[in-house]
Amino acid sequence: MKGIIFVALSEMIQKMYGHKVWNNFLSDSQVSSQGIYTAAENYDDKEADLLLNSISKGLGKNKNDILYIFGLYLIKYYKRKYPASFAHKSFIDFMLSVDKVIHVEIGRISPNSTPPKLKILDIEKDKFIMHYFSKRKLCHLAQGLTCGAARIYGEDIECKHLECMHDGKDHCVFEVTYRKGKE
Amino acid sequence: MRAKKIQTMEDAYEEIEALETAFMREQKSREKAEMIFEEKASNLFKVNAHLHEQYLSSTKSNQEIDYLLKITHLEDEHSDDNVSIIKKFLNISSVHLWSEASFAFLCDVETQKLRPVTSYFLSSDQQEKNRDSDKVFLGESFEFLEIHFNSVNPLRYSKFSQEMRRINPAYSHLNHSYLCPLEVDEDEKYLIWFTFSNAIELDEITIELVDRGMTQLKSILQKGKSKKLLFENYQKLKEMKSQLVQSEKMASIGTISAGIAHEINNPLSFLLTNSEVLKEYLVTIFDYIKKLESGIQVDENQAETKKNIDYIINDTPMLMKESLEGIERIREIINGLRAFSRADDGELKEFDVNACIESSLRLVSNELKHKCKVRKKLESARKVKGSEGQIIQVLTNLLVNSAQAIEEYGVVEISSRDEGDNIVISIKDNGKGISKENLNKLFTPFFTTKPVGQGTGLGLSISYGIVQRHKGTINVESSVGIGTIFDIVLPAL
Repeated sequence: MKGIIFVALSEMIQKMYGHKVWNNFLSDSQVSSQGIYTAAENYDDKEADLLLNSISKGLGKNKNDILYIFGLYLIKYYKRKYPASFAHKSFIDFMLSVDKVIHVEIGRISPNSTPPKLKILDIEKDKFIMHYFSKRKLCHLAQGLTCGAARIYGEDIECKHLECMHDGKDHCVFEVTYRKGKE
Repeated sequence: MRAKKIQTMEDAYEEIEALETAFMREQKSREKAEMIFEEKASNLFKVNAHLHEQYLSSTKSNQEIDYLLKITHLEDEHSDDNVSIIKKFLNISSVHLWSEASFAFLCDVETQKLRPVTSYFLSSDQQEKNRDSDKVFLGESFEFLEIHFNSVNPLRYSKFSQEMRRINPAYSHLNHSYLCPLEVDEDEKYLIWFTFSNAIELDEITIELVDRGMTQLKSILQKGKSKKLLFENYQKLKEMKSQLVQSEKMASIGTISAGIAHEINNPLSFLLTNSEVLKEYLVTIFDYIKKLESGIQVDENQAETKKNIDYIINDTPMLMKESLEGIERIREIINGLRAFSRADDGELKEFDVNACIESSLRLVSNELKHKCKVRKKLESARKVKGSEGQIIQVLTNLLVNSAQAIEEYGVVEISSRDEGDNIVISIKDNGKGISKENLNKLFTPFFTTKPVGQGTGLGLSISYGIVQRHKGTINVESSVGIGTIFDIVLPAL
């Protein structure tokens, strides 16, 4: 997993709960990196699992909720760091570019990375279907990222989780509906 | 579990401690990031260096390709003169090698000595000096290199300075050499000599490249030679072909001349007899006239004489008519022969196909009369444009062939008819026929079923060519044991 995700996570936790809490999570989870993250490097996926367990236990919150909230934070973090990637006219244009441009670019910069696959199908005026494929099964993070991105583009959406890998499906399916009429 | 507000000193210490840990962690992250950055920078430098190297090598290989391409283009020079091609090769190669002066020597077949034939100098004033004369380029007195061709192995970097000094002291600074032998064939061998004033490093790749250039040059020169040879052979073949065509014509003449002799001989013999009779008649008539003029009394034989004169008066017109007919027959044969002999004058004239058939029949009548009965059915009413003689040649050829196909005595039928825009001349025989296998090869030059010495195998191929030149076709149908039909289709006027 890309280091930038860990950097963003540490930033979020430290901002929301202070340094001490993050220090505790790091020592509790016994991650091998000791929390020394740089954005460009890749880190073991296991590290993310360990951290998530500690955070969930420490905050007393559901892992899926943590991932969803982190998704909302992470997309804002991305926008801060890579504003050029958010230069699209509309939310749907941005969503289409994720798989076709952004993930392709990531693959080019660090060939060992394995970004998830997003397929956006059945695009209609007020909704579309998003298929999510990833061996990491971080579908709630993807959901948070999607909702966060919609907010950046001034859209209010509902992101319904129709099918989930955690229920034994081979990938997740989301139905994204615009809440306000988008004429 | 929100961040607690700092209320007590203990809280403050705790907070400082947490900040310290966070700070240490961040510092380590930074150091790590810097390390990564340095590594990337150094990689980038290496990549750049590698790219530069690749750029240089691709520039070099571009130059190499350019060099070989230029040599390949020498083939398009269309020059018969090998020396001028070699001179251009020296030019191209000297520029590529930075050789200050390069020379080509021709190996004398007898003595194996090397005689200079051409040179190239990098500096332009030297080029100017040597432009007009290839002889003076190594000095006036110099004629042969004191090195024999056979002793020149691919000597690389050999120091030929001594030889150079001997040839011309002015060139003694060119004391480094690269030598390549160039054998076009057994009789044409050259030595190419590149000279340098500095022992510049001729690397293996450059040497290999020049060797490849030499190989290319060699094949160009060889190709030029074989092209020349091919052209000469083609000319010879063309000559032989026209000779063969001529001999085929002579053969046809041979075949028909016996018939012609007979045809002429016949009227000639009765012309002779008639003339002798007429001569006697004239003597009698002149005598009679003289006696009448001198007033001499007609003797007692008067009645006898009168009877003779009456007979002469009666007989002479008959004799004259017969003689004139004989002369006419001879004239027709001669005319036919003349048309036949004019076969190649190429002049295109309108002519009557039926007359053409008659002429042909007359020419071959002797050939046919003992082998077959000839049936004529001349129905065409149109004319053809072309060479009458050539069509006669075709018809006589086919008629003789038909007669030869008949084993004992048969029938040859010749007919003409109009069919659409064409005139069809058919020659049909009831001879032994042609097998399917041979039918395919019928018009192939030199194909013959006749014994050696009796046929050239060119008759039908020439006939085919003639008909084709008249924009016509020849079709054959044949069944073994039944006979053969040749149809000559010619466009009518």
